[in-house]
Amino acid sequence: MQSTEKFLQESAEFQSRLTEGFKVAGKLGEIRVGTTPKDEIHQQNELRLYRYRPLANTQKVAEPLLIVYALVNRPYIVDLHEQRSLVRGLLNQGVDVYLIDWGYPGPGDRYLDLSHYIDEMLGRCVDETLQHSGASKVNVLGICQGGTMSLCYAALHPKKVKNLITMVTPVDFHTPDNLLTHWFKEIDVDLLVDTMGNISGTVLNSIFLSLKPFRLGIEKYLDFVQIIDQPEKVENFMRMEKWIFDSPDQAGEMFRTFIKQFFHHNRLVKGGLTIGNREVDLRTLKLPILNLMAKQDHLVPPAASQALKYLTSSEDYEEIVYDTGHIGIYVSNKAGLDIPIRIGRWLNERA
Amino acid sequence: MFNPWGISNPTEMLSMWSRSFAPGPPTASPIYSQLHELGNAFRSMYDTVQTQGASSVNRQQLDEMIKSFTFNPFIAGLPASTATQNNPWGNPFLAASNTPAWNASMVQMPALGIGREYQEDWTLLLKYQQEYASSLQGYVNIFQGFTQSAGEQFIQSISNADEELGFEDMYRKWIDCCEVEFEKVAFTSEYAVCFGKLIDSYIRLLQHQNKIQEKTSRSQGQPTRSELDKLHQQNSQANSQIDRLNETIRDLQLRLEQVEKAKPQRTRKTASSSVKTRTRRPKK
Repeated sequence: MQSTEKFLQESAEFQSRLTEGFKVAGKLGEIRVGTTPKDEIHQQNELRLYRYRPLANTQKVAEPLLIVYALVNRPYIVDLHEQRSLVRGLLNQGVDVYLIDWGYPGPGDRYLDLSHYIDEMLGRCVDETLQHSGASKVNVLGICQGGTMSLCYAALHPKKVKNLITMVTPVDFHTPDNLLTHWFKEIDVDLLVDTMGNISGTVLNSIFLSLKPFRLGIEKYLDFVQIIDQPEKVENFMRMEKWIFDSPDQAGEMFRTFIKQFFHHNRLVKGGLTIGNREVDLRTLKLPILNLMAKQDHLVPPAASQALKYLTSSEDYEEIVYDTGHIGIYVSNKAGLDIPIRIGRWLNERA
Repeated sequence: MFNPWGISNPTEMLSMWSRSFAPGPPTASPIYSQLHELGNAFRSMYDTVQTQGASSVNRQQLDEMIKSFTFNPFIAGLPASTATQNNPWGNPFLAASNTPAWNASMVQMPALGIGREYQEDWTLLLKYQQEYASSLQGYVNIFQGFTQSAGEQFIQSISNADEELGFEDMYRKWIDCCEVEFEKVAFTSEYAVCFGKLIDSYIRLLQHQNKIQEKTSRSQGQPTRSELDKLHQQNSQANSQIDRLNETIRDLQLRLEQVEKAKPQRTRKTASSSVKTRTRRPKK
């Protein structure tokens, strides 16, 4: 047992670090994110389509790569910081990178549903990317919910997608370890959307954080105290905080259809999903698929992503499981460095 | 006794109700004050452990820690947290939910003046408030065993520790124990049902509040939310039609370009010159 004196000493150190840290945090200026140079090539209400300026001297991959991020949180997580940027890593691999920024839906976007997002927004971005790049097919990198949407799009438009990469993408929403599905299954989503219109991003984010309330609500801030006197690390921490709490509202109808079709009815596995009167059948997918997932993902458990292996007709399916979490897959040193290289190599082999 | 149904100005009544019960968005701002509270509770327990051994940690200290630890940002934003502090009516809804007999007499009171027209709405509002209070209580109840089990886990883990544990090590052990126990609760069907009931009852309450607001807005000739929603829907449909038309125009332009490209060079020249000839003739 330690003495009370030692406890008091540790406690005093803790207080001192905290005080010093607040001074450091107070001196931080604006937290900058998404700094890799890019050009807006298309705009559709809130949506923006960007093309990143090439960094490498030669473009090795012929077809452009379109990144389709989720509607929850903002897509700048893929270009958070110069040293933690999936986009920058891909550009260094000679990939021509395009990114969809869905924006912040307002009250006027309440009636946009899944079909609209996939057919009229994602579809349009694919067409714009093809036209801008001059390619006949596009490679798609779908992340999280964006991966689910990308799967639907690729199944409906196989002639436009050459290779598909899914990253922490939920496919089977009914795996026993999916806590989010477990929580959502008893919620009357019709009542929710009819009453609220758009669904508050702040509330949704709180629900996501509540999945692991002690780790994400408390332990994280204990870790913060440990790095609080190191300005660079504090800045990184604050950058992540900025991203975590930057949660756009969800268009009401999109939320309704997404929850019902995927969380409640698990349509990608059980079938019966229609987008614009056409059925989405993953068995029609024959293109090469690279499926990336995180072993400690509390939002999309690996099993939820791995289901993809058995649902398509692709004869060129590869999956990689990283020993990290849902966020760590973008920003952790190991996964963050490895993923762009793997993607670049995988695309080159299939160019 | 104060009669909430008898207020003569429904707008003011609604406004007061709204101020008292309308939820603000959950925020992360309590994190640091919570961390501070948690630190105090933890220090108290740590001190006991260090001076008297793990078995002497009492239930009250554990409860204090649990209270600090069970930060749920979602719940923090729900109306119950503000209702007890700010309700200018002396909190009739909460009182009603706590004392059914009082409530029974309350809803049978005769409404006077303009309040009569709103009696049904307010009665329903009371019903939804009660349902929400009940589901909130159910949600809180589900964590009753959590305090006990997380505490037991924690005491066992620090008692079995071979090495000397510092302030931070113990803190982290406590977090580990809480997270494991929380997961056990959160994965039960009982929790899912409670969570669903909590959200649904809260939304039903909001829905009814919206209904009353709608009625009030209409009576004052103000635009209502459903009218605005309808305009948004029409706007959304119009935008979709515009998108589709633009799509058609782009397709047609592409096809036209392809047709132009496919034409033999000579034919195009001939066509062009014939057009020129035709346009010059009238001038002559």
